[in-house]
Amino acid sequence: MNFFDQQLARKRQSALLLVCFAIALVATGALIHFGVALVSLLLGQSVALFEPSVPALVLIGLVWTVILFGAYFRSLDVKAGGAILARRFGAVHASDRSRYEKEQQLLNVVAEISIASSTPQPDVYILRAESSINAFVLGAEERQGHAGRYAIVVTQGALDNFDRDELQAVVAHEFGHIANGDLPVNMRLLIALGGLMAIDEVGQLLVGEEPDSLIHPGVLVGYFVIGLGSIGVFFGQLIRSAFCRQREYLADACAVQFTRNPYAMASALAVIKNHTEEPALHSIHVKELAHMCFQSGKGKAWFNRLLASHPHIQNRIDAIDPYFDVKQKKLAEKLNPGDESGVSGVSHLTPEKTIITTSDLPIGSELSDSAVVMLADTRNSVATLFALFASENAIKKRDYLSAISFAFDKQFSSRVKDVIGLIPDELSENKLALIELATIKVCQSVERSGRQSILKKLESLLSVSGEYDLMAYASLQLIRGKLDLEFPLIDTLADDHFAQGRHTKAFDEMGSEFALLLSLMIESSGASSSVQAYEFERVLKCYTMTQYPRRTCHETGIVAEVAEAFQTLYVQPKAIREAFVQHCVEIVQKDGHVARAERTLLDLFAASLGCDEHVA
Amino acid sequence: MSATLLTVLAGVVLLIAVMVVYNRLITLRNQTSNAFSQIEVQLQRRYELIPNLVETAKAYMAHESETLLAVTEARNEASSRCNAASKNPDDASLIGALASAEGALTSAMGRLNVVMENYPELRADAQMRDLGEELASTENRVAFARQAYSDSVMTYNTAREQFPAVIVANLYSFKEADLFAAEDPAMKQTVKVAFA
Repeated sequence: MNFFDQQLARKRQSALLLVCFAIALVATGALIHFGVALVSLLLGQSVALFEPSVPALVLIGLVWTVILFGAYFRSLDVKAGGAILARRFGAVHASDRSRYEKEQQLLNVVAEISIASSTPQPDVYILRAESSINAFVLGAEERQGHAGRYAIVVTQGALDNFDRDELQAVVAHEFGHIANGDLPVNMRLLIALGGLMAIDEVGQLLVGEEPDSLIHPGVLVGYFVIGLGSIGVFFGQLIRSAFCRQREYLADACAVQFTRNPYAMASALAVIKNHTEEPALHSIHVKELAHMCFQSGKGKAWFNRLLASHPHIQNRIDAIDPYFDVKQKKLAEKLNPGDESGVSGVSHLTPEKTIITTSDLPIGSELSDSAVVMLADTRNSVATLFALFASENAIKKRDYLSAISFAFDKQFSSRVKDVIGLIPDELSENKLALIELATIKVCQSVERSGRQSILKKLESLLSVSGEYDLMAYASLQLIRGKLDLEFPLIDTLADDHFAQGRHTKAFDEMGSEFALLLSLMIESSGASSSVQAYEFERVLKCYTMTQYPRRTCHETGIVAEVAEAFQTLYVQPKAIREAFVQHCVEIVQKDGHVARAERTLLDLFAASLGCDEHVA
Repeated sequence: MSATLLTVLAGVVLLIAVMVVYNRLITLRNQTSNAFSQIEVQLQRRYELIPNLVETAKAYMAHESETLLAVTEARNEASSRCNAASKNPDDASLIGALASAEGALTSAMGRLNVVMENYPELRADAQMRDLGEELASTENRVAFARQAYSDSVMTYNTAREQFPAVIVANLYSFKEADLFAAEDPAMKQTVKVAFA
């Protein structure tokens, strides 16, 4: 298609858009009129079919005003340029010299593709709060004399899930839209949709993401507004479907022309295909933005396919490389030769399945029969929990046992002593399995309050006996987690009056906590000191810019600090905690060998941070 | 009367046609020269990055001074030829010389990369990791710049050789543009890895 044909096509599309918009306005008015007429019919009043009543006229006027103002404000944003628009949708500017490796990579990739496509470099924006995988490009229309400034927006989910080549392919696709001249029409479409969907967005805002109560007046109004807005949404989607979906194929083809790497493009699409649980975009602007995003999710029903803004993902993959699935399978087999099924071998390319779990790590050897039989009794199980903390030193052990007899009675103390005598090897070698089995039994037969008092007794015993080192703390916290008790149970930590206030810290101020926990984790990994230092620096960089010294578990008072660090971390959003546990798992698996101390510490971290499902 | 009007009309149409073709060729030719200058910019970026890389690597691999020296020499050679070529952009022989020097630099870098595999501490160095991303990006940029140049050369040459345009092109001496290719067959061969 040459330049003149393209210009003509663009003019035709703009005219079509204007006509559609006008029709949508009229149709909205008609629908409101009939709605009001229906209500007054039900109320038993006479109705003129082609003469809108006064309330209908007022409502139509209101809706039209909102739509026109919505479109007007969107058009102001569009005129102001891509950067302003990107900020309007909540994106932040990606900065050079960023502390996130991925962000630097994105900037580099954009620079590379702008060279490959001979396009001026656009501004780069990131939607940080978006876990969905998507990207789009915004920009003002070219004005007389100087080209419009573009902004390319990428979601955080895309940064997290794509590798470098895939990111490059997605960015190239967006550049394909620029090179094909899709932006002017896309921007006009954005203005029209911005108007038609403004009412719906107001309703979404009123209802909120998860309404606390369904009968709150604000929420009720919100649902009414959404109902009103759904007319606009319907017509908006109809308009969107009138525009050619072939542009996506064209942009995909352009992306391949720029990168000369069809495999990466297909693999990026495959990543999205396998991410079934994520919507295309979480933002409330999703309906406005859908037509220019990299992907629009998957519609299964026929009407979804009819109204979809994008072709089906599998069709796009097939258009780029019909044999992609076969190639991917072959590659996966080459990488994991032991994997015979092939189907599960693909999983290394689909990020949601690559979450490393520790379930495949060795838990330790099986328990002996005598231990299993013994732990079938509840009292023995409780005694075992206490026996776990008995010292190997004979004098210390005697003190510990006498403390137990003081806290409970002589009978229980001798039972603990019996347990120690019966399974001395397992107590020192196989703590994890013992804790696992004993806590299951205790959970089954002891009530919650009883379990709480057991844990409190254990905690006070430990602080008295002076055996409160990091491993003891780890075991205690693990037991706490397995007994299904709340985290801030332990009294001694909470007696500080200001403790609660101190524990709610902002993410930026938590560098020292992260540094402390990470250094302990890394220390237990048993790698060489240079590798430890490097790992520490690499992972810490993800959390804070400030340099913190590495700590060791031999420092005095470290347990109290660790406990406090956990309390601080525990109130952080789940995503942060999960990311942290994920890093710890990576550290542990780095050398391909999982030591017992590592495993214990890891379980402790996960349990203390409420991310147990990763370590299940 | 009508004959003269017809002649004038035909003349005007011919003039407009020549003008359109001429302008199109000018646009395409400028695009190719712009694409070529883009290669130079990216090559310069690469030349600036290499000394940093060598400095960082030196601290870890004192025994590989030969490899490092080879990289530095290849870099200096390529850098000076790039400067010469950018001063005389029309001289095809200078561009050929630059292409072969670039080939030598690429193979020296390849050797360095292979040697670096033996130094895990070096690969673990934080500065080295940053440099690694920069270097990967720069290699991509150089490759993409060459690709964009080749594409624009192809578009220009095709437009120049097509029928009505070829007359205008010869009339106003639009020369054929050169592809940026390694002339020396020795430079095209892949890096050989010898295990001692």
